[in-house]
Amino acid sequence: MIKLTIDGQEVEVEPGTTILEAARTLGTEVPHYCYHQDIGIDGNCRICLVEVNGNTDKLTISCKQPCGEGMDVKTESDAVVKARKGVMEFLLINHPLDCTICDQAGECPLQDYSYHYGSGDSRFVEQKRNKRKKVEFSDKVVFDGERCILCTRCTRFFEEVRDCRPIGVENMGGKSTITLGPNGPIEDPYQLNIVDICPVGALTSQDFRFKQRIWFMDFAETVCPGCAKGCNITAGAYQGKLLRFVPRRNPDVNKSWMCDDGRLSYDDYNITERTRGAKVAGADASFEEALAKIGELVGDGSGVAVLASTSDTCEELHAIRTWAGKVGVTHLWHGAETWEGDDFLKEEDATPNTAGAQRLGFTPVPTEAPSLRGLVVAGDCPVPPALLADLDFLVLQAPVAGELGEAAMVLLPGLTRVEKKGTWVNCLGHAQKVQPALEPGPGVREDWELWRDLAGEDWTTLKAVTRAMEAASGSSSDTPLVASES
Amino acid sequence: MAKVVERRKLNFWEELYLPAIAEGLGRTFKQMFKPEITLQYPEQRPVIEDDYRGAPGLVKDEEGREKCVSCQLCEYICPPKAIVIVPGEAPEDTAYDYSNIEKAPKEFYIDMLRCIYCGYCEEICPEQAIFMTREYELNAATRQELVHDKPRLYEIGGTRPGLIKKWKHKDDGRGAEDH
Repeated sequence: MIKLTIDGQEVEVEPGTTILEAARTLGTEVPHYCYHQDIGIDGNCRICLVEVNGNTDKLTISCKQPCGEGMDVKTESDAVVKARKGVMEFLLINHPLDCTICDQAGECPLQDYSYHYGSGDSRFVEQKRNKRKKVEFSDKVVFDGERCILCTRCTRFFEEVRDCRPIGVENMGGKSTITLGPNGPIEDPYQLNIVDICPVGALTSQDFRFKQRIWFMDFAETVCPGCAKGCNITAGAYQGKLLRFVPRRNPDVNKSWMCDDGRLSYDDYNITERTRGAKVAGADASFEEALAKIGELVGDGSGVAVLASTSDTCEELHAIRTWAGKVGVTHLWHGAETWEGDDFLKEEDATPNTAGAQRLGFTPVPTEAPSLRGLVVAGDCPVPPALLADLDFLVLQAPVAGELGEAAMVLLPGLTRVEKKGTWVNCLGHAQKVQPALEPGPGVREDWELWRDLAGEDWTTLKAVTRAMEAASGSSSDTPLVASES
Repeated sequence: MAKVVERRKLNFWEELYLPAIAEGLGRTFKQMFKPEITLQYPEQRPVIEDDYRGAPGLVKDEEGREKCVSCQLCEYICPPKAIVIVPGEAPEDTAYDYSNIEKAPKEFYIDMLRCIYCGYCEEICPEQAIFMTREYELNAATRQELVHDKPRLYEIGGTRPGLIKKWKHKDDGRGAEDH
């Protein structure tokens, strides 16, 4: 371990840790553009300068300098402040300052650092350099050469994370600009990550282009519902409509990345028509009537199976399981949905909680399914047609009933994947908290409440379900069902 | 406890009421020969001062191009949240060079039932595209008519040649070679 002092505070770090990372452990954020935790160090932007051992003639870039024994680092000394101001001035010389129309405004480090460390006015009276604007790098990404500060995070993302070089820097000096390679538009299925890591508005998403200023939006820190990987995301919504997913850093699951398919899947959850209120045999009914009807239909549970969606949270699945155990339903199956996976983040399993369902005792639908009297479908999942043959009754609980809704004896509303609150377990075995990004509106009850009422339990809050689930299934640190409080 | 107010007992002249009537009529007749200050609205219109804050309107420049770039700062600053903007892409198929602008409002609504005429929108606008006009006659048969949409806002705002030079193409040939 190496001991050093940063701004008067002593800190001990592993050998090889850079000053910037060491400062971060103390809660001191050294400004940086080109450095990014997950794509390594370049050291070209020069904004992270710090003073080491009182050397004010030659400041050091903290992103690349490893900590040394006994170093005395100052991040806010006069020399540092002056140098930082100088760097900011140079970065802004050719920047167009078109924040009014820039999608990055509001989440732009250039704006933030300009506010915190810049001088507030410009001494530059000459002609700003003109570069190419609105260059389409692909049908997903637009590039604006004038806004670019050439930190090369985007090119390094492709080189170091995706092992390809669709874009690079062309020309020299002031004429340098990011350009497409000879093979035409970017085709990488993870290309939208360069929009997130671009510290300015040079790379913007075609999909999110001019949709909404981010300060009007509501954000939920949740988990991508697209596949079993469970990438951590921040879902952004405006007036009850999802507008985007962006990845949230989690070093154990997705680092700072997510796939484009998952990212652009947000619009699937902006449903316009949905089940509201309960229905029995096609006629509107109260929830109490519908639940009583289910009890009557299921009877002693023989010949009845539960098919639960693997997008249901663990809490919902526990409530379903509790009810099934009480009425004697022994077939607990989970649905399955697939899409094309890849070898990086995207999993073939297109549902977020298959691992959680299996830990709670749900099994895949057997290939030789026993003949059934009735089927209870809990949550949004495709039902194998073989199960539907010769049924006496079908109970469907889903946000969108679809064609199956007409055949259902009892129809109950449900939440979509982005409205749920609870826990999902991803394919790596991490139990992760899910937060609702949208409100379901009137006539929809939380799924776990419906199944709790059916089971006759007295859980009043979701937390009570979580505790009951923990107690009933012996959730351990190896196979957690409950997300840790962090 | 209610306070009991003693009434002054009227004297003989006061009880006659005639002197009071005469005094009242005297004032009335005097007023008839004074200059008239009533305005015969709507035939006559008041003089509106230059800094009057009437209904906000969007303005076009001298060549009829919309100045607003839908940055939504007025929507952000508006205290009663009267403004709603749907941002969109600037039109490309025109004679003008939109390469420095890119953005324009697709829809622009100001709910005049909410507007409090504070003038913050005009003050914050970085493009000098929205102004408090002298328009003060806001009447309508339905509430919906008082939610001004884009055509109505441009009708109110009219044309205002401005300082904004966003249309001037910046390229003077010094920086753009090779690009």
